[in-house]
Amino acid sequence: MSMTGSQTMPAGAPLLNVEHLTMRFGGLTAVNDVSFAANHREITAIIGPNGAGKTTVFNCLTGFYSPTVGQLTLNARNSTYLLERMEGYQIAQKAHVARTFQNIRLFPQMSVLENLLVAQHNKLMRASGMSFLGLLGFPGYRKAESAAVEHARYWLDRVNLTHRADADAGNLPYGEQRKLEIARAMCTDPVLLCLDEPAAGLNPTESLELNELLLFIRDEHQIGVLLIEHDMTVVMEISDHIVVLDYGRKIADGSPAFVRNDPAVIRAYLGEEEGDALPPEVVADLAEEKKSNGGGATDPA
Amino acid sequence: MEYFLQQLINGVTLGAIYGLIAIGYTMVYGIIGMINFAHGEIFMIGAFVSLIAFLLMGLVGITWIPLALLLVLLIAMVFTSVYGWTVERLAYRPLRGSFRLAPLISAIGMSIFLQNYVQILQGARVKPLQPVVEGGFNVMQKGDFVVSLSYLQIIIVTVTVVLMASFSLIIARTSLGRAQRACEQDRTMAALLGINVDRTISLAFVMGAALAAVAGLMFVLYYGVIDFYIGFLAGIKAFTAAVLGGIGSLPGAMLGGLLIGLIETFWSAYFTVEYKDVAAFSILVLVLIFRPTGLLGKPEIEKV
Repeated sequence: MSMTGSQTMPAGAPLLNVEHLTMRFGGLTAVNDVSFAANHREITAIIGPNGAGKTTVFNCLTGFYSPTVGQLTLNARNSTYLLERMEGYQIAQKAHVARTFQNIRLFPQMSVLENLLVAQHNKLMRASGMSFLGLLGFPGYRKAESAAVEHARYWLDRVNLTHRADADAGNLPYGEQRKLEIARAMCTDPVLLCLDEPAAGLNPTESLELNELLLFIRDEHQIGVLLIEHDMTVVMEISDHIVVLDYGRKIADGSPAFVRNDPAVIRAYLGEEEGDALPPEVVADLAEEKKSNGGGATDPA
Repeated sequence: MEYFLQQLINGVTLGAIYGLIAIGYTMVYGIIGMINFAHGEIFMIGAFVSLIAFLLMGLVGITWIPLALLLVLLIAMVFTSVYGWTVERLAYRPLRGSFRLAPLISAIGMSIFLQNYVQILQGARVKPLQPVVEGGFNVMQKGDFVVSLSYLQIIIVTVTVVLMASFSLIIARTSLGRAQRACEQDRTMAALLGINVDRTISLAFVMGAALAAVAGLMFVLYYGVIDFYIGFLAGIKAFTAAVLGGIGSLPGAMLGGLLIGLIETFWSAYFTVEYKDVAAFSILVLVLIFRPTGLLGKPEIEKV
């Protein structure tokens, strides 16, 4: 492997290792010395109040920002990549990190199917010898194209959008656009899927479907998922591991049971005095959980 | 009637040339939102490369016209594409992310540079090419007036139609075209899906330049004389065509090219030749005032 920051992967390394990540914008420190690891075949959630620096972590991971300090190591498919040294598109192309956004960013004027085919661009370009050969109908390209369509169909089926394959992506209802975005990210054949608030704006039924989809991705496709989410029912239900940020610092890191009882987390969410930082149902949920767990669990992990 | 038919034939031929150049404007605008004012000069370089290639064909003794034409076409496309790629690489890519006007100013600079470059290398005098394709049909005759359709006009229109059709297919059907459209709609997201956005943009310049080279070849065949300054007027007219059709829209560029060619020809035929450029540019002004999105352009939707 001669590409930027790539070397042989050490045995037993976590999928993603974030070490001492710091991101400053002028005088503002958005992320301050955060270290955590995300494992293979696990759903790792990053939670925290608004402005805690969650999305900034994602932006560093996917090459939007170049971190002020820190090392982001990705270990997968027998190689190691230093993400902070790679250009944006290479992170997707070489290291196979996929991402979705808080606000949906589909290609609205392309069909649903085309959105999924664009995600397989690199595979198709290799098949067509990086040229116009596709137009001439070279058998290699034809085969790759139909394989790509097959792959896209598989994911359309997974997110129940097969019947909308030819619709313009921009015309889908909100919930379906969210699902299509995840399907598109999966079509890039990722090893790590970064989802920025995938449940935002979904109704409870859609939210449940999302949980199932994420568990399916973890269990059947054996990839790691990194999740930013405000919806605690989603986070507590499906995460294997939770990292809590507040004001750019990591304040807790562990299993859902451990994190929901951590005094620092409760303080960050509920505030020292005022209790309206979190939606009331979540406050109730947290309080109830705390009661039923006796309030003093230690992290087994 | 005969006169009209003759003008129609001439107008369609001219429109084909404008349409090929207009595609380059519209593609670049679609993908990076800038007007590549050096594109007219790329067309001019295409014409010069074609002229030089014809002379070379004569030197090496390739005299069978179809073969010579095909070779000249390929040589012109390849060399002109290299120019298109280089202009983007040197003058526009370093300015990406700079303020909006920067690449525009750079494009105007590039345009002046290329004009002077050709003027110095090739001389300022008009360069002639003796007719390569001669003859044609007499479509109809009435009295002294003969409506003629030359073989060259047939070649120009056929090649244009074939190129435009295959180009539309590339954009609509291949992975390359999908990447182009994806970059048009959301460059950041395209990069996150692993698409090399810089390369995709370069490719838009290369394809635009290749089509402009074909237009340059046709121009030199059709008019028989070129100089370093032909890119300016042809470029601005093709830009008008792209705006008329709706800038950013490929079918729009083709339609706009055809319309500008027809308007210019009919104006010259029925009104005054001296004012044909005024007619073409009045269209530009009228379109900008009354229909800024052009005939086939989509209105820009503000993202909330």
